[in-house]
Amino acid sequence: MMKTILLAAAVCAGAFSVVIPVAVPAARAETAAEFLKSLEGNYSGRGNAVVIGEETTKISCKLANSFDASAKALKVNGNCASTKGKGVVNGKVVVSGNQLSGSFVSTRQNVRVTKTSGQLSGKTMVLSSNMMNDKTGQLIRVQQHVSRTGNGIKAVFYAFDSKTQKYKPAGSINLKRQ
Amino acid sequence: MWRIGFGLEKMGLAAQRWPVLFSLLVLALMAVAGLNVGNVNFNGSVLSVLPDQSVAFRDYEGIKRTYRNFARDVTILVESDRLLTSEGLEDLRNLQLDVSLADGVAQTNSIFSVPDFDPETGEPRDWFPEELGSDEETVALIDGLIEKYPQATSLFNKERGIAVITASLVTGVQEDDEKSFAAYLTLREAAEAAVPEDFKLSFTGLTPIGAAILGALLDDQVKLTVFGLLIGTAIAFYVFRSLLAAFLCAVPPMLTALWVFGLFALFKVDINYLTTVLPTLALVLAFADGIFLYFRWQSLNALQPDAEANLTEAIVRVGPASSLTSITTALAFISFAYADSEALKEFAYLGSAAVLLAFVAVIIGLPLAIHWAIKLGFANTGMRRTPAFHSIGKRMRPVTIGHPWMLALLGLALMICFGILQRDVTAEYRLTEYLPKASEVRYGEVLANEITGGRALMLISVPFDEEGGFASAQNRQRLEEVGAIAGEQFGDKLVFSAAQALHAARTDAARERITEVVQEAVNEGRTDFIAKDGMAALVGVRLSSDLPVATLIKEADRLREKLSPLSYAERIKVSGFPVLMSIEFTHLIEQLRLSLILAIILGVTILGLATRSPLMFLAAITPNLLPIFFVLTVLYFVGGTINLSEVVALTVAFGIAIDNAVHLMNVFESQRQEGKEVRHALAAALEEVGPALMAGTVIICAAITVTLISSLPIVPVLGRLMIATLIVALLSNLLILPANILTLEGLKQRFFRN
Repeated sequence: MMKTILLAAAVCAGAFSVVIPVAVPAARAETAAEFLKSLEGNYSGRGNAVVIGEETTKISCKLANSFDASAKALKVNGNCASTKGKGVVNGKVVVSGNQLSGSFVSTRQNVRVTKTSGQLSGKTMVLSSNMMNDKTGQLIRVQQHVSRTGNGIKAVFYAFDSKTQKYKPAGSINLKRQ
Repeated sequence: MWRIGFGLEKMGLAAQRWPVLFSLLVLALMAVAGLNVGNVNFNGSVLSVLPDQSVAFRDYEGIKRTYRNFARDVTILVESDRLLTSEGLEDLRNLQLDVSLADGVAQTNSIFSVPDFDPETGEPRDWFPEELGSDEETVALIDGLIEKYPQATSLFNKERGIAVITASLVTGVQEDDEKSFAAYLTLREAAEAAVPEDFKLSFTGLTPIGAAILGALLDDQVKLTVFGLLIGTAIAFYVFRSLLAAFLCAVPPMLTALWVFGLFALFKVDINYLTTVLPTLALVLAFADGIFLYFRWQSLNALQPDAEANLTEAIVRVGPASSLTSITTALAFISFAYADSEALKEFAYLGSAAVLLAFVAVIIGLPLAIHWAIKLGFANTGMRRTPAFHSIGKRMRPVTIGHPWMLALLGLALMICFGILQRDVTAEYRLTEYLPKASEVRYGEVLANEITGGRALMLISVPFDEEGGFASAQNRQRLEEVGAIAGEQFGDKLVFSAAQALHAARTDAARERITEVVQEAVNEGRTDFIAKDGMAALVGVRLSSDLPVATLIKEADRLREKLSPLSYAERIKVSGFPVLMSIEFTHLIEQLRLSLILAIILGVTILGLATRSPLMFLAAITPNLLPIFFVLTVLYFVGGTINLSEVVALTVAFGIAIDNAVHLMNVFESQRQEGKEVRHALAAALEEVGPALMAGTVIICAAITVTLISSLPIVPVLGRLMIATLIVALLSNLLILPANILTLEGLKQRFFRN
């Protein structure tokens, strides 16, 4: 029941830390590490996600992000809840040169992240992840658009629809720094 | 010299002889106790007095291990006029989401969590859309949900505008009182931070109840001890009309209170809702015994000029009776050890120790205090103002000595009548009786009982023989069978299980999907319905926590009988907190009533042994049984039930009440040894002891009235019962005991003249 919410939230959590190096303009652009560092802190907020079936439902999340400067990694830990259940969310993303590496961990043992990639587009970070359900063999593709807001973070989730071969909105969450 | 106190009064004489040494000893004891007082622990758990080896307790623990600890769930009641509007219902949903995220909360349930599945595919779906429509549409959704799932009424009461959110705590937290209380407080903070201003929240469930009792216990200790001391001192001042007397009489109770708290800390015994009253009781006893000793010393001072010699004589005269009264009261406490409960055994030993400490404080502490008062020139001999109640013995004398046969027969007749009536008093346990008065948790519990059909859960565990949980047709059939039987008995609205969702599924695929969804749910969510190993499932029945235990036992037995034709009936477990409490409290109360009888037999026997007189043994029976049977008869007429605290109160009251007989017999025997004839010896005893007994009873009763300020309802009940017992005991020991002695002496003269 918590499958999608956990995936969405896990992806969301991980996405906060994904940075694609971009060309540095004359005015010095923010580095990936700086971007990740700026996401440090405790956040909570509400939004929606696909928890059951295909419809989105309301969710609430509380996350604690910590940035490890030496490893250039952002760790995300927290919980997300819907009216049907609650699950742990955690993730870790590491910046290495121009490459991103990391994994998103959900409480679902049968789901593992197989690939992540992303880019910073303007002030929005776009992250794509491929996951595999080990039990059913189903491939899950999700995308997150993460941007900073005045005092928080906004993450928008998309799930790949194999029928239309397009990403469909799968929820969003507005997090406020606590 | 006739010695009824087994020579224990010699401690007081020794203290008077070596005051410096004993003063240092007392100070050392005070220092040890004082240093340990800060380590006293409190335990707010209602379960703390239950025996942990009984079948019912093992069943209860078994269900906890197989599923989870349902009793730890926190129930949040939300009251608002806006709940029937889209905006209000949305606020409720947001509140639930925020509470879910509190640390220590595993998951929450509300009207939004009622599981609904597609009957064809079994795919779970939300009944309420993400965006609620108009107010009318919202009300129609609520109506539709309740129509489809009547059990949803336990989560939403449309008429009263009350919604319920239940929160289960994470498994590691559930088993630890301290962690549970901390998780509850975090949850509560989260709820209060998120709640709109026009929502009223109340919290209940065993975790908030435990936290509230814990708070009340802490509050009570300070209040009861300080006010107990103040009231006792004020009464001592009233009796002796002297500030010095009031101060000196307050020394033993102050020492007792300190030492008893030190004892709690030293032996790492928690103060719970039973033991909370021990320090107050012990200090009250110390007041009473101290008054007797002081009374005698002051009387002697009026006649003889040597204050130290008078103190010695007072110790010699009153000490033996004080020893014996302490022994009988300690024995009354020891009788609780007869119960199976470890906590009651602890109460028994701790209570006895507290009584003995009170005795030590009186027999050593008071002589020392008096000695130093004499040394410092505060205490003078000579005629004092007449103490209160000085004429009580004289007034009683013509009544009791003038009509001994009549009074003895009246006592016997009353004892028989009350004895017959009290047999029909039955055991009772109501959770609300243990909740602090005017507390939010009490309000919440009463409200939950009123609007949800009850917060307490009877849990019926249905065994499965096939693997696969709900995927097995046989397993599903069993769940439906048991659910139907429970529904027929308690009403469908109050019965919950996965059978309701499974029943709505039309295809095997749907049933498989539902099974899958349940299996995939996080631990605390899954175990609401199915055992951790999938080899049993739960049928829950919502019950009022105020249901009388007799009714509950009857209902549980009726259910077991209805289930008995099923081939797997023997393996069905019927448990849950209310079932456990109904069985165990009934059993405990019955055991304690036996303890009470045991205490009476022991007390009267010790009296007989101490006086070495079968006649005294017989004479003491009616006046000491009468107060107990009288109070039980009153209970019979006001409701016919007795709870755990009331039995405890009666037993302790008996232990104190028999002191009257001891003091009277002590003086009577010494008068007899001085050569006085029975009638004259009794008259002298009444005259000497009457005022002290009256003063002692007034002081104890007045000091016990401090229990009325306790925020725990069982503590004032305990106080009221003790006061009633003590008043009747005073009357029966002043009227019936002398009458019995005279009557029995008369019979002895007639039949055993040779």
